[in-house]
Amino acid sequence: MSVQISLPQPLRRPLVHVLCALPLLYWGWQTVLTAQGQFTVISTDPGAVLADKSGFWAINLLLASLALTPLQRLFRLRWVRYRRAVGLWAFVYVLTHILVFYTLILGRDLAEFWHEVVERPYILLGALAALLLLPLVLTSTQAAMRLLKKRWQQLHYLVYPAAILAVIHQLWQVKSFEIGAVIHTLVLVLLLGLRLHWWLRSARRRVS
Amino acid sequence: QKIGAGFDTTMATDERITPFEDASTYNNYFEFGTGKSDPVNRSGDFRTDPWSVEIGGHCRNPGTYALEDIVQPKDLEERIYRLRCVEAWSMVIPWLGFPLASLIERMEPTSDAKYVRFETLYDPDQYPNQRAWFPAMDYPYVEGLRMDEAMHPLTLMAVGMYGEALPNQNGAPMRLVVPWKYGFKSIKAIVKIEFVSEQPANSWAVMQPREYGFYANVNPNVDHPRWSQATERRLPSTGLQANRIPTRMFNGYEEVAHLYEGMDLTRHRYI
Repeated sequence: MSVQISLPQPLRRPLVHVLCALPLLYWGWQTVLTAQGQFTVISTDPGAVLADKSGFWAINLLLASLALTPLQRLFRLRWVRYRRAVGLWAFVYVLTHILVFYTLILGRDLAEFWHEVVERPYILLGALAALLLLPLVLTSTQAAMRLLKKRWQQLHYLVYPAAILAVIHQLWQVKSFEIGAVIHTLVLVLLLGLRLHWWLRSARRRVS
Repeated sequence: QKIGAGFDTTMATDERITPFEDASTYNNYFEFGTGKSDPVNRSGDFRTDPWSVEIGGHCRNPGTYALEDIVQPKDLEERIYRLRCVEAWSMVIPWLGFPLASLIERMEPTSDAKYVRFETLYDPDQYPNQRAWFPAMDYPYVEGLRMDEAMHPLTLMAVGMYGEALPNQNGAPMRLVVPWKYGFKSIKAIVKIEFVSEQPANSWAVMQPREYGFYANVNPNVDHPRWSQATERRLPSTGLQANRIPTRMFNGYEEVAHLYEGMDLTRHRYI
């Protein structure tokens, strides 16, 4: 017996957006309460907590966007159509992450910001990951897709180095064993491994 | 519970004392979990009574002492100290305790005692991270001080803070406070004190020898390999302010500088 859970078509896309926005809404709400002087889960050290949460969700959504193709191939889940939405939301969390680091941790000190980026290798890796994602965001429209034709796909392969750098960036900053960073690493290895497997198989077919 | 009032308050600063609700809900205590709120959320059932401390090694009065025999309420004094975490945040906390030196003197260490070694409780039934599939570190947690550091009048054995007994999440029933060193030196829930002749292998230095050392003196001139130690964030960050302030040598407790004369405090093995 198979259980069919299905949502009316017009509601599916809004649901994806709502799900992606939920963490931002929750932590944004905590931030507003904290700004009003209330004691909240983030008020002791809002910079550290919000940087941690925004980075965590950026990687969650980045990996989710990479998981949609394997989910379609393995389980026939036709969620690839939501990949652009998920990818763009991942970038929203990346921007939030950088903004939190710059305002709440560094106190809007631009000189200190550049100093930290070049001085700390793990921050540099994170910055590179964000930079690699930027052209993908800028070319996420249908118009850009039509304009770039074959090049569009090639450009969007940048998501792989970006995801790898982002996961190393997270691994590099943990103090000891942290389950979130380990799970992100395992998921990334699985997703890249599946793609490598499929790519090798199709390459062999082309040869024979 | 209230464990007394009207303590002599020394080491007062003109800095704002961190509110109790921040100091008791945001801290590192990996036995309860690696998250900053894990200690407060998971320590509710921690048993601190009865509590005994095994004291041994090179001393004339070794033995297992009940906590009540180690500390009496009349011995307590209040010390308001800055606490600087190696993660580059800091707080100002009023501790209740007694100088470690007075306990050491009662134990009469011999001339072989060069260092004091401390151990935290090992009890996987009570500490979730000690029974985790992948514990965050090797337990029990170990720390140590050189004998002259341990005897320094600033070194405090704390049993309370903010006029009350220590909350479980802050290291109840008894913890060390060494205000000129990074917070990880101030070991919590002590069950063992040993006078030893070799430098103890403290937990963080064992786990990450490239990042943490034995001395761990607060030093704005020597960065952690992954982040700067030149400044710190004074918590709480009220109203979303970054509250960045310069970090001071020995966390501002310059009176300990003579302990390290002749040592190159930029060399890793002395960090």
